[in-house]
Parts: sequence; C-alpha cells; structure tokens
Amino acid sequence: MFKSKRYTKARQLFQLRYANEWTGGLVLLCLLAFIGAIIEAGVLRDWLTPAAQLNIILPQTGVDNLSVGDDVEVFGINAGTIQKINVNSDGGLTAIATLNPQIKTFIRRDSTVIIKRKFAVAGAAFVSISRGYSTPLNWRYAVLVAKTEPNPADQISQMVLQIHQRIVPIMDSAKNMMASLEMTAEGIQQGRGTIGRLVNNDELIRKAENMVQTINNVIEQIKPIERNINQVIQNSNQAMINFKKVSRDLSKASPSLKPIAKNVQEASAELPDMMIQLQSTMADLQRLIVQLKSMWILGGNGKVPHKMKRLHAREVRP
Amino acid sequence: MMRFTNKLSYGFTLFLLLSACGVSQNEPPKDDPLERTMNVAKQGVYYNRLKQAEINYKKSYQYALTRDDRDDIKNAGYNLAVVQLDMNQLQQAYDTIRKVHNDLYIRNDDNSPELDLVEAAILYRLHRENDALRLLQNAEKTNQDDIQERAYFFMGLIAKDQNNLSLLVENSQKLDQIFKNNKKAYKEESWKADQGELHAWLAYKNGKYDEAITTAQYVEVNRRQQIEYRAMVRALVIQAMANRAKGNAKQAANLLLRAGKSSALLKDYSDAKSYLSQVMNLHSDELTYNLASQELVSIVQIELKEKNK
Repeated sequence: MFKSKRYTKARQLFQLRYANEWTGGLVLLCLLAFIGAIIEAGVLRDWLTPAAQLNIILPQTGVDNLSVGDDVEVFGINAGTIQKINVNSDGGLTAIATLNPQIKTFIRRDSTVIIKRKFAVAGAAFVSISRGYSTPLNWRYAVLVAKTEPNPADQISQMVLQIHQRIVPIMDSAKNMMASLEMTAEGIQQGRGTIGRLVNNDELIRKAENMVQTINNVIEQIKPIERNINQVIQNSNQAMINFKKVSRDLSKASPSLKPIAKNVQEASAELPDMMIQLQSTMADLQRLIVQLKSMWILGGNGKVPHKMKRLHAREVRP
Repeated sequence: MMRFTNKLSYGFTLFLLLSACGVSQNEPPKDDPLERTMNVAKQGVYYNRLKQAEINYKKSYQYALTRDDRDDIKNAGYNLAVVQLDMNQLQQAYDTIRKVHNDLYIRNDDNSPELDLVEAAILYRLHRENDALRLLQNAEKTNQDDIQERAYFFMGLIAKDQNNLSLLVENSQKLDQIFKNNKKAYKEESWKADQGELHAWLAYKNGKYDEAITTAQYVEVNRRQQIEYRAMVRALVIQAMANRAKGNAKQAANLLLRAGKSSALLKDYSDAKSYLSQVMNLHSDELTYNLASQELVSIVQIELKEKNK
C-alpha cells in the first residue's frame, strides 16, 4: 500500500524495468570473480593436493624424546609434523611424518634425517631433514633412516677422556725427562763428562785462555806480513796499470799487425820451397866436398871413398 | 894488372882440368829422403845425439820398407838397434832385431852376421853369455872385417867372464891374426884397444899383473880418446884387479871407485854397485870408504826413484 502511495505521490525518475535481473547478474559476477581469485591464489589447489607422507625409521638407541606432533624441518623450513609413531614387529620404531607436498622435491634418497633438540641439550625434539640431490624418493612409500644428534655433553666428556688419555703419558715422559735432567745436572756438578770437566776444571779454561793469547801473538806476527801484502797488492796494482798501458799501446799497434801477419804468411808460404832448395844445395855441397876430397891435388886418390851405410861395428858396445 | 888476370884465368882452367880428372859423375839416382835421414842419424851418432839418431833411423827403416830394399832394410834396422843398445834400451833393441829378422826372412835373407853381433851384445848385457856365444860363432864367419873383429873381441870377453882361458887365448890370437893380415887394422884405434884389452885380461889371468896394468892403462887412454867410456871402465877394472892381486889395495880401491862413479853416470847401476861394494870391502882408507858408501847410497836412491816412477 505504501508502495503504491509513493508511486503515486512522486514521479518515477526512470523506470527499472529489469532491476532484479541486473542485481542478480551483478551478484553472479562477484561470485565468479571470487572463485577466480581463489583459484588464482592457489588455495584451492592446496586444499585439493594431499599431504606428503614420509616414513622415518627411528634409531634403535632411542628416539630422543620425539613424540607425535613434533615439528619436521627441511633445511630449516618448518615442513610438517610427526603424525604417528609406530612400533614394528621386529622391535624397531617408525615415525610417520606428514609434510608439505611442495617440499617433496627437496627430499631425496641422500637426505639425512636427524633428531635434534631446539636448544642443543634441552627443549622440544624435532626432526631435521637435509636437502638431497640424488634420485627422488618414491612418495607412494617414502622411507628414510633417522639418526639422533650427538649430545654435546657426551661429546665434551668424550673429549675430556681423550685429553686425559693423551696427557697422562706426556706427563710421565716429562717426569722421566726431569729425572734425567736432574741426573745430568748432578753429573755436571760432580765434574763428570766433558761439560762437567769444563764447568768444574779451571785448567781447560786456562788452556783456552792460553790459546787465545797464542792466537793473539800469531795475529801480531801476521800484522807485518799484512803490511807486506798490502805493499805487494800496491805493486800489483801498479803492474796492472802498466799492463793496461801496454795493452793500450798494443791496441794502437794492432792495425799494423794485420799487414805484418800478411807479409809473414806470404813469406812462410815460400819456406817449404826454400827448404827443398836448401836440402838440394846441401846435398850438392856434400857431393862436391866428397869429390874435392878425392882429388889427387888435395891428397885424394881419385876415387870416391866407399860410403858404408851401416854404422861401424865399434859402435856395438858390450 | 892484365898479366895477373891472365895468370889467374890460366890457373883456374888448370884447376878445373885437374878436378875433372878426379871423379866421374855417373851416379844412379838416389832416394833422397832415405839418404837424408840416414845421414842426419849418422851425424846424430857422431855428435852423441842418440835420441835424434833413433828417430831418424826409424824413419829410414820406414823408407827402406817402402822401397822394399833388402840392403837398406838391413842397414837401417841394424843402425837403429845399435843406437837403442847405446841408449841402454835393451828391450827395444831386441824387438828391433826380431822385426828386422822377420822383414829379411820374407825377403829370403835370413843370414845377417851384423844383426847377430848386435843381438849377441844385447844378450851379453843380459848376462846370457852362452846364447851370445852361439850368435857370435855365426857372426865371425862373415867377410866384413869390422864385424869379424868385433865378434872375436866379444868372444874373448865372454871367455874371460866364463874363466875359459883356452877360448880367451884363441880369440886373442884371432885378433892378432887380423893385425897380421889386414893393413887397415893399424889405422883402427878401436881394434888396437880391443886387442889390448884381451891381452890385458890374458896377462891378468896368467898372473902377469904388471903387464896387465901397463896394457890396461894404454887401453884406458885409447878408450877415453875414442869416447868409449863403458870400455874405459873395463880397463880401469882390469888395473884395479891387477893391483889388488899385487896387494896394492889402496890403488885398487881408487880405481874401482873411479870405475863405479863412471858406471853410475853411464846408468850401469848394477856394475857400479858391484865396483863400489868391492871398494868398501877393501877397507883401504876412510875417505875412499866414505866416498864409495855415499855413491852407493845415491845410486840406491836413484834406483828407488826410477822404480817409483
């Protein structure tokens, strides 16, 4: 009735003939945009993708207070929780961890699983999985073996034990060494051995002093010789200066040497011929002398004396 | 002036004419290198440059082999061996003799009295008297008078060493025979000395000591003039032995000391030591004894030095 009155009192600005249809369409459009945004944000995908499940075989030595609901970290990122801890039929323990499926790509066969505590020795336990690089796991039944992180307190006590084991023999050796040193010192004090005699016997010192004195005397005697040597060196220097002068003169004269050498070469080339001529002349002269000797006018008998080629038998001496 | 020039030209022409009458010029061509090396080596022997002589005789021997001349091979080889013997290189001299024998053997000439003489001298020095005697008996058959004379002399020396008086007399007589038959013998001073030495030994062996001394003195002088000092030493030893036999020990010691010193300088150390030891055994006087002992010590030192080299 009211509606009808308002319609009736004021004039309608424009007519909404399809207003309801337009409103419904707008709502539908908003719904579509919302669904698209959800899809685009991946929320739906996350909802639709099932969580990855990893079976962790726990160490026989103990689970180090690991319990259901503890965190699982993959190279420092919180990637899931321990969903369940099962006791196997063989007495072993297996933890089932649910992990973010996106993290599956980082966990491979060579990933190590270590059970740690939040504050090294205290705090809640958690499982730390390192990043792997080898072949991917079969995620239908993925299994990794876990280890517990060594307790730092145990490590420290182990280290102390090792130090103890090593220091004790060293201490024993030092003790023995000190005893030997004590004995040696005692021996030196009593004048045993070379060092002992050196320490306790003044004679050696006196000898050494005498030796030093002798050396000093020798050095004193050498001093005049040294002066002579200096003189010799000065003379040598002078000789070297003279030699330099001579060599300078020689170098000045050397241009003349070449023609001289050439002349000598030319002259010496004729020497063999001259030698032959000389030999020939000598032979002729020898013959001439023999002939002259044989002339009757010079007391010869006109016959050339028989020349014996072999030495006279008187040269054969017993 | 003109007249003088004419006389000079006539005189020179006459000289040439007379010279042409002297000798003929028909000489066959000679192997000059062989002639030259033989002459140089001979001069080396004459001037007592034995090393030079040895080198040149070696060259001559090579030339003779090249020439394939049997006489030249024999002469050069003989000369080389004689020089090596004079240098007291007994082993080298013996090797040379063997080499020459081989070279002559392939040239169908195996008989060489001169080589036998040199080999006998080598063996005599090595105190192999019997072997030397066998070679000398072959050498004496030669018609080369100097070789024959030397062979008789060597045989006489061996006879003296072996105390074979008959052989000594035989060879002494053979030497005397040479002087009778060969006019040339009186011109050969060395032959006279050889004859004198055998006579001196013969006189000594027969107890004629004065005659032995006188003859040995002549031989000593002759050998010294002939520059045959090794033979001169033997003459001194004959005098020493004769003086000792006469009882003149001092003179004997002096002569033996002189012989010992000369032998030492000739590097005949074995003989020198023997003579000096005899001086010391004679005990003639202190000075002679001391001199002999000093000389003996120095010889022993030289021998040790040479052994250590």
